[in-house]
Amino acid sequence: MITRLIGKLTFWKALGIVFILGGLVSGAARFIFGLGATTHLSDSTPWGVWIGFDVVTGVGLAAGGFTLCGIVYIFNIKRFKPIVRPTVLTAFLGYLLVVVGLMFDLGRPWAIWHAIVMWNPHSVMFEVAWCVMLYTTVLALEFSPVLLERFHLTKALKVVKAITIPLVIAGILLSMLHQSSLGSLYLIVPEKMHPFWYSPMLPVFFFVSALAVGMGMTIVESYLSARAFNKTLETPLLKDLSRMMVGVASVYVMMRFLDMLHGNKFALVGWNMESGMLALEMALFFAIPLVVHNVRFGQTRLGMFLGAMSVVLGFVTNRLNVAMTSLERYYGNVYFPSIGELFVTAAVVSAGFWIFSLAVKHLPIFVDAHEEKDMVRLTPVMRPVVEEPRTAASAQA
Amino acid sequence: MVALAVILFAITLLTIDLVIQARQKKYPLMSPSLRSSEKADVVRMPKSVFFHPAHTWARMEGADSVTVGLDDFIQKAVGAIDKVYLPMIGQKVKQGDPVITVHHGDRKLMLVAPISGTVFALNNDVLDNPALIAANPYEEGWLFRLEPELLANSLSLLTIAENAVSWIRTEAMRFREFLAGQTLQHATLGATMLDGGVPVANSLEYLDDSSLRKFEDQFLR
Amino acid sequence: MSYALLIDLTGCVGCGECQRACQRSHGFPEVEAKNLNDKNFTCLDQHGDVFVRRMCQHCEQPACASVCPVGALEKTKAGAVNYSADKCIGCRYCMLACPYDIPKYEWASNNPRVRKCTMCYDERTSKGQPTACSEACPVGATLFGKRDELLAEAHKRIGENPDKYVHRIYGEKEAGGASVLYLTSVPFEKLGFKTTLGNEALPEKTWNVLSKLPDVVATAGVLFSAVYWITHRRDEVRAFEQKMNGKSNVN
Repeated sequence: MITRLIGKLTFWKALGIVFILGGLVSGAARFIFGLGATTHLSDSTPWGVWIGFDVVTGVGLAAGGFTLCGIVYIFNIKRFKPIVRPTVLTAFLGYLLVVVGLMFDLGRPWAIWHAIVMWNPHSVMFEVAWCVMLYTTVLALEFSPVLLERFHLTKALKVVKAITIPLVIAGILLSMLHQSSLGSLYLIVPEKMHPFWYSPMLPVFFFVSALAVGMGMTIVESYLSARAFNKTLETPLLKDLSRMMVGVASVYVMMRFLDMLHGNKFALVGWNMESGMLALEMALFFAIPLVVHNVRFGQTRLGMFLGAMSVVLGFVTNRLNVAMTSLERYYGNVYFPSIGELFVTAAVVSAGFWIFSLAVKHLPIFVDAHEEKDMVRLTPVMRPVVEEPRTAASAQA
Repeated sequence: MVALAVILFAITLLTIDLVIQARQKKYPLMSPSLRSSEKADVVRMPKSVFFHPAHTWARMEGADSVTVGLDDFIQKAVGAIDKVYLPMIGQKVKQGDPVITVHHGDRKLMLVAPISGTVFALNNDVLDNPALIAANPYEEGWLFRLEPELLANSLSLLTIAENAVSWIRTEAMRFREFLAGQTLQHATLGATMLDGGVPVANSLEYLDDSSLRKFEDQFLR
Repeated sequence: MSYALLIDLTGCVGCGECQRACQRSHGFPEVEAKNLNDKNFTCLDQHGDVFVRRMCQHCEQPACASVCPVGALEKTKAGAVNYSADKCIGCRYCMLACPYDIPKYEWASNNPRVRKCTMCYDERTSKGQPTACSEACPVGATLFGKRDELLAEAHKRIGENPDKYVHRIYGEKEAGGASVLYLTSVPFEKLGFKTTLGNEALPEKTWNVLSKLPDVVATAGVLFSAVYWITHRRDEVRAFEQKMNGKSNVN
C-alpha cells in the first residue's frame, strides 16, 4: 500500500508535500510561540522574507491577470483569449496566497479588517490594502464564469458577462495603482535604501516591471500547464507574448539606466555586494531573455520557457533587492530568514501550484479541456504497453 | 543575501526539473497520455452540431439563427488557413452552394453552405485572424450565421452525434485511400503514411493542383 | 498647544536619571540600557564626553503616522506622536519608515504592540504636565515646554553664547521639524545625528505620488475606454467593408 503510494510520487509532488507539511508546522509554531521565537525578524529587520517575497514579489508575479485582460478585452487582440482563463486563475490564486502570507507576517492578523473601517488615506499601505481587496474581488468575478459554467448557472453567467468590460477596466486601474504603490511603499526611506534601488521613480519602475513579468508568468505557466496537463501549447501566441515581454523589459531597463545616469549612481558601481546583485538582476531580467529571444533556441518551446523564466527570476531578484539587499548596508546586519519563515513561504508557493492543478482537473480552465470528450481518434492507438518499473517493485513488496 | 539565496534555490529547482525532463524523454512511454504532437490524428466532433458531408457544420442557435462553420477534419487537412472569404450579409445561400473560400498560401478551396438560408452575420474575428479556426472551428472559429429556410429539408442531409462520428471515420479511411492514389509532391508524406503515422494534418500541402481539384470534387461537394 | 522637549547636550552629565524615571513611569524594570527596545524608550549614547539622549523625536509630520494603514499612530495636538494598540494590525511599516529607527516591537508577545516613547501623553502631557524625564533631570538639560517658547529659548541661548553653541537647533527644521529639539557645542554629525535628511518632511515624498493617483486613475480610465471603443469600432468598420466587398470575393 505504502509502496504503491510512494510509487505515485513524482519528485515535485514529494517536494510539495514536504514544503506544505513543513509550512503547516512552522505556521502553527509562529502562532503558538510568536514572531520573535520563530522568525529572524528583529527591530532592525521589521520586514523579512514574508513581506519581501510573499507580498511585494507575489503581487507582482500575479500581474499576468491584468496584463492579459487588457491585451484581450481592451486592445481587442482576441487571439490571446485561449490563455486568459489560466492567467486569471493564477492571478486570483496569487492574490489569495498573498493574503495568506500576510496573515503569518502581521503581528495582529485578526485585526486585518481594521483597514476597511479605519482609514488613513495618506498611507501607501492603506491604498495597497484597498486595491488588493478590490482587485481580488474583481478577479473572483472575472474567474466566476468558469464556476458558473461548470454548475450551469446561466442567469448569473449572463450578468457577469454583461459587466466584463467595466470589470476589466476596473481591474487594470486597480492593478496600475497597487503595482506601482508597492514601489511607493519604499519612497519614505530615501536615506536608508541603497541609491541603486531608491528612486523617486520607484512606482513607475514597479509598474513597468510588473507588466513584463505578467507576460513572463503567462508564458511560464502556459508551458508548465501544457506539460503537466497535456494541453496543446499556443506556441504562436506565446511567441508574440515573448516579444512583447522583451520589449517591455527593454523599456524598463532603459528607464533604470537613465535613473542611474541622472542620479550619478554609476559612481557607486564597483566590487561590492550591491553592484553584484544589480548585475544579476539586469542579466536575468533583460540581458539573458534578450539573447535567448534572438537566437534559434528562443523560438522553441523550451527556449521561450527559459527566456520567460529568466525574466521572472530577474523580477524576483529586483523585488528582493528593493526589499532587502538595498537595506542591508543601512541596518548593518544581514538578515537571513529562519527555517520556519522559509517553510511557510515554500508552502504558500506549493499550495498555489497544487490548487492550480486541482482547478485545471475539475474546471473548464483550458478551453481545450471540455472538448476532449468530443474528440475522435482516426487511427487505432499504437502505443506499446510497457510495465513501469515501479509496478514490479510494488509486486515484490 | 536573501535575494541571492532565493535565486540560487530557484535555479537549482529549475535545473533538477530540466534533468528530470531530459531523463523522461528517454522513456516517453512512461506517460501514457495524449501528447500534442499526436493530436493531429484526432479530430474534434462536438455532439451538438450537424455535419454536412462536405465538411461544413451547422448549429441551431434559435428559431431564426443557425451558425455555420467548417469542421475540424478539413481544417486539419488543409493546414494553416491564411485567408477566408465569406458570403455577404443579406445574401441567400442554398445548401450545397460553394460559398466559403479558404486560402492556404496560394492554394484555394471552396466549401459549401451546409443548409439554405439568408446570411445575417459574419464572424469578423475570423476574417481578421483565420487562425481562430485552428484554435476551435466550432466556437471562436465559426464563420457566419444565417436565417434558415426549409430547415427540416436541409437537415435531412446532415448527420449528428454517433452518426457523425462513424461518418468521419469512413471519411478518414477514404482520405487515406485518396492520398495513396495520388502522385505525391513530397516523399515524406508517403513515408509518414507507411509508418501508420499522421494521416491528415497538412496533407494537402503535398498535393499538386490537379489532385487538389480532385480532392475538392470528392470530399467537398 | 503643542508641547516639546529641549535637550541641551552641553548641560547633560549622563547621570541616567531620565532613563530611570522613564522606566519607572512605564512600569518597566529599572536597568541601565544602551539601546532602545520594547521596555526602554530612551537611552544615552556617549560620544567622547558628550551624552546624547536618544528617543522618539515626535516629528511635526511623522513618517510613522503617515504610513500607518489604520491610523494607529497620530500626531496629537499636545505634540506627542501617540500609538493606539487597539487599532494596530501589526504590519510594522512604521518601524521601517521612521528615519530615526525609534519604534520597537514586542517580538516575544503573541499580541505584540509597537513600543516607543509616548511623551507621557496619557498620564501627563495631555493634561499639560511635564514628562517624567524632564521632571527627573537634576541639571535641567531636558526642558519641557511649548514648542515655540522652547525654540525661542534655544535661539536665545545660541545668541547669548554664539561661541559655545553650534548655530543650529536639531529638530527645528530637520525632516519637517520635530517636538524634540537639541542644542550642542559639538557638530551634530559627530554625535551620530542624521544630518542628511533635509528639511522636507518624509511623508511629502509619498504624498507627492499618492495625491496624483486620482488624476492618473481618471486619465487612464478614459484612455482605456477610448482604446476599447477604437479597437472595437474597427471591427464594425471591417464588417461593413466585408459587406461591401462580399460579392466580389465570392465568385
